[in-house]
Amino acid sequence: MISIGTMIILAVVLALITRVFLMKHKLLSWVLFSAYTAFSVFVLLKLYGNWNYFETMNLSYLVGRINMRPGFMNKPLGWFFSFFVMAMSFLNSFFSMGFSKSIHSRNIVPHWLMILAASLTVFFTKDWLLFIIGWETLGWASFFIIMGGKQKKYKDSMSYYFFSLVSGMLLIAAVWMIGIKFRTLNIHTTTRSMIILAKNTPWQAFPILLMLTLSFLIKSGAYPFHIWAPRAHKSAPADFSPFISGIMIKFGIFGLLLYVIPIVSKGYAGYSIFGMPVFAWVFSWLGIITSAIATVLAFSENDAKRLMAYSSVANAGYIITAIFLGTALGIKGGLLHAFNHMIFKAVIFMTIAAVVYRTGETDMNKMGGLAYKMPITFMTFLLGIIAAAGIAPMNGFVSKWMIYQALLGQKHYFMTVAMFFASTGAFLYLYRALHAIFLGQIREVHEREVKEVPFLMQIPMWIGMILMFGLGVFPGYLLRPMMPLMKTFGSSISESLNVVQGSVGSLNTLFSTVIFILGVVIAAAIFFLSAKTHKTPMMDNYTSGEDPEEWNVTPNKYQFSYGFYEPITKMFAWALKRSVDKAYFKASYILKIIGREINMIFTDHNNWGYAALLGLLAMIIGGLFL
Amino acid sequence: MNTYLTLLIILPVFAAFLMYFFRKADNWINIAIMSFVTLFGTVSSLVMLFSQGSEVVALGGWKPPYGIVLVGDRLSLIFVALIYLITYLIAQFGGIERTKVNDHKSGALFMLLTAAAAGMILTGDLFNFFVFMELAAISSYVLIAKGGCRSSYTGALKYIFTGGLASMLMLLGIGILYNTTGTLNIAHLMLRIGLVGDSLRWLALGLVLCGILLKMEVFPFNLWVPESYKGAPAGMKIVLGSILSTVGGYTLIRLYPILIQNPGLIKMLLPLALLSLILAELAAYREKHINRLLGYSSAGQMALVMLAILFGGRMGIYAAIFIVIAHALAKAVLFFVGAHFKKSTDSSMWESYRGLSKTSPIGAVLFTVAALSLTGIPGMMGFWGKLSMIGAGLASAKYFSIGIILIITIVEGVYFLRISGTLYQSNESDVKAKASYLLIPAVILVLIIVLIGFWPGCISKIINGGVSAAERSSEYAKLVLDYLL
Repeated sequence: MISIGTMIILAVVLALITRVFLMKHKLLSWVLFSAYTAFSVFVLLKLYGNWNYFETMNLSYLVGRINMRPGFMNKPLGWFFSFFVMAMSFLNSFFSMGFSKSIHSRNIVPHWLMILAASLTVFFTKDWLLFIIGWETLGWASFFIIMGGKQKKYKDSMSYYFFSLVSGMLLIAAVWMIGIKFRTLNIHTTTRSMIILAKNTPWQAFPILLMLTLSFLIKSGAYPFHIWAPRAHKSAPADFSPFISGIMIKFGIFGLLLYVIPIVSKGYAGYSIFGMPVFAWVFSWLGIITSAIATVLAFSENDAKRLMAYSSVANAGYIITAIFLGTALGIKGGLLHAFNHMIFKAVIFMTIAAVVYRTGETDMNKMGGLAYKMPITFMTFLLGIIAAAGIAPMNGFVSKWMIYQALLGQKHYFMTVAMFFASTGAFLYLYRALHAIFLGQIREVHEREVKEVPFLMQIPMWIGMILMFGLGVFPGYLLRPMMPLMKTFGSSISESLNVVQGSVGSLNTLFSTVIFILGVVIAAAIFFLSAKTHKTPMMDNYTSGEDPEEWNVTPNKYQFSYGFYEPITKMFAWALKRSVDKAYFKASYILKIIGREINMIFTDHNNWGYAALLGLLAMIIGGLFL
Repeated sequence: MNTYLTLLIILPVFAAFLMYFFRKADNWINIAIMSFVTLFGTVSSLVMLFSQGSEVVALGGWKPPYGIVLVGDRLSLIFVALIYLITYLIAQFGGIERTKVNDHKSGALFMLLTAAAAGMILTGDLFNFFVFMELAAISSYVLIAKGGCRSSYTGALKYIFTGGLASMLMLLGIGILYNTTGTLNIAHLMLRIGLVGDSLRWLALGLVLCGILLKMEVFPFNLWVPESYKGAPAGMKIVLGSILSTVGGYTLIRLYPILIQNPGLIKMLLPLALLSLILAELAAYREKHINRLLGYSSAGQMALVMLAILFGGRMGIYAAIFIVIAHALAKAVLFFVGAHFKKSTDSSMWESYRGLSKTSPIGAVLFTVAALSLTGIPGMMGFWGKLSMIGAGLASAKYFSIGIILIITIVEGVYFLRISGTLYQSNESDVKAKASYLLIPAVILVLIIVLIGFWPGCISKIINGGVSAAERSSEYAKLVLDYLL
């Protein structure tokens, strides 16, 4: 049996090897990466069910007065997240092997391996110390991947690193407060102590929980910390975006489920509102607000990757809402949606990466009609957005249905309506992306050059399609293994393959699939029985009889989905005007101004007198008031 | 064994005199002398440290409260080993033109400075400390001015002004202490300081602290920092950043038993340290000149050390020792690599280092690791210092200070990774790596940083010994004054 510690060390060693020796052999390092992830998947599969497994490292750390031996523990929650991390990275590695273009940075593999090591640490650790170490390693490793050695991407990667640092600092402070209070840094024993603390003296538990929650929400891209998500996704290498969206955003969800949710749902004894602790209620609403705002922002987005990033933020919002409900159904729905989202969003980003691979574009206004040239990619994307929009029979439907059921079961009607709005919006902007990229008329450049991606890159797409459809028809294949996981959250329903239990009713996914297939058959029948299609040149039908030349429009410039949702964008213009981005930029600008003024204190010796006075004043004020 | 302790101070002075006779010879003889002396210091202090022996040497046979004593206990030996290691690396690998400490004149001054730094750490007498401090200050004035550019002279001049003022104030404070307690022996002082009245005690200690705060680059005694760091030759930058500030930090840790007897003084120093931290790091956030930036960062790190000491407790001292060591190692790396970069690109603006990772991949990695260590990112040594420090602050319920430290850490992380990011951005330039030998010491130091970062257990025994020695005045007093029994 290979221990988890060995797997982590192996990843770090491989990272060093690829960084030092294999910088010139990109393909070889990707093969190594692939082998490592496959091996980890194998090791993890053997670990499944062995929930009492733990190991202690042969090192001892003295942290303050706490003498600790770090170690790892196999818990269902951590197992599931790490399994998905490894499996998705494994799928992604095929894609990256094919993707290895000349512009593809060589720095990706070593840093990605560091991220894998860090994520194994975070998911399996039994104490907070290793959790912090893994958590902060994610930040700088991702920074270097996202920047990829390009000056114009530096700002986006820095915004990710900044939020990562903020999250890390909040985490350290919260962990220390836990450590000082309970004299131990063990995650699982302090959970129990925290539940008791929250029951007896909620005001002592509140700051700790708040800091932890904020730290985790930053990593999930919740409002108002969402601004890193579109920037990081946009700038990241095309084959790393699936990982950011599928996995990195879920680290926050993992943290919440690991620590905050059990305490809030079990131990909170403060004020409650609508039958929910105020704390959980506020953050449930924050999830809804996040998804609503992300949806509105996605409407006006022209960049495919940024649009999908906003979609990821919106999905993180659904998950946050669901898990903060605290009911077994809510947590189950949230978890299932998290895993489903990992699959379908990773697949969607892979298709976008495939498009980038062939066209080099992410601007949707410069694409169109690629469906004829890249049919497999198109099919994958289509199934992906059906899943993302939450339409039967794909996997996104089941989990969204469960979240709605959980909301309705707790009688949160407002939340349900707000979430329904966000979900409908998701359908609209996803369709727009589909249309802009794959439908409509193809540009002349693309007509000549673009073809389907190589087979190696198609492998993960095929697997993704099968997974999305299979888990949509038989969600039991995921829900059944999840039973030990749900047991830790107090639900012991035994799942069947195709019937999902809600709070108001149950859903037979096989039945809804049959209906869907019937619909497809009827539509196909109408299509084949009706009049034959005939091709028309682009300028004939798009411009309603106007002469395009008068407007200076040529077929190459014409893009049907340009300004697609302009009315909706106008409708929300008031909201978009006050963006959080601007507030952050303003703050950064002010910081620079202050820095310049302080520089003047040091460099201009005319100011020394004032400086001395300032120091003296600080001492006097401190002596008097602190 | 006793002679070693004296040799640690005597040998560099002897070497400084010896260099005069080799003034006409090749530079390698000077380098050989300096390397031998500093290597001897490193090895012997490390041997003493690991043999866990503490010893006290009464110079001239005068019994401790009356004569001067040298104290090599578990705390001071750590720092002697540290500064000797760094001086060895400067002397051996510094290179002749770049660091400008290896010709016979400045070499002699450098040796004098080493002796003075070791003396400041080892001495158990407050006035003797002052003498060594002046010795170090005078050598550093000259060495800063040897940078040879305009800002070398302004930097040296500013350092003379502030340093002179601070040492005068310190002398005044020492005078008051001697007058009121009748002793200059630090151990004796620890026992008798309680006899002095509150206000007089605060005044005297405050004045004594002026000199230490100058070395620690705490606001408002750090106004010389940007110009001196900019103008000093590369070797002297390392001395300023890694040795003199380390000595300042050590002295404050040593005086901790005296400090905690004065809660009022701690109250006054806390806002000063916070202000220093904020000002230094925000100034660095805006700075474009790499050496000034590193100088500001030194000031910020030393403010962190001061805060850790003021938080107090075992954890606070642990954090302070850890941060001082981590800072000394990382700052030396940054200055070595910075000198290498400057030699390669002929520019000190970090924005012109774009794409240097192609030319000098090892240099870029070393810079990044050291920068991350200073920020306190896990895997590097600085993490453990920052972790303990936040714990110490929260344990003593200084929530406001901790909030500021966390925010400032973010600022620090951003401006350091900004430079590392610049190194890794692609850029078409035909820069050639020059003076790559400057990377050798940096590699050694980075290996230490990473080793301790992954396995702090390897030195935690030593550091804990240092913490015990620093925290309990009784232990130190017993060590020094038992000698007379």
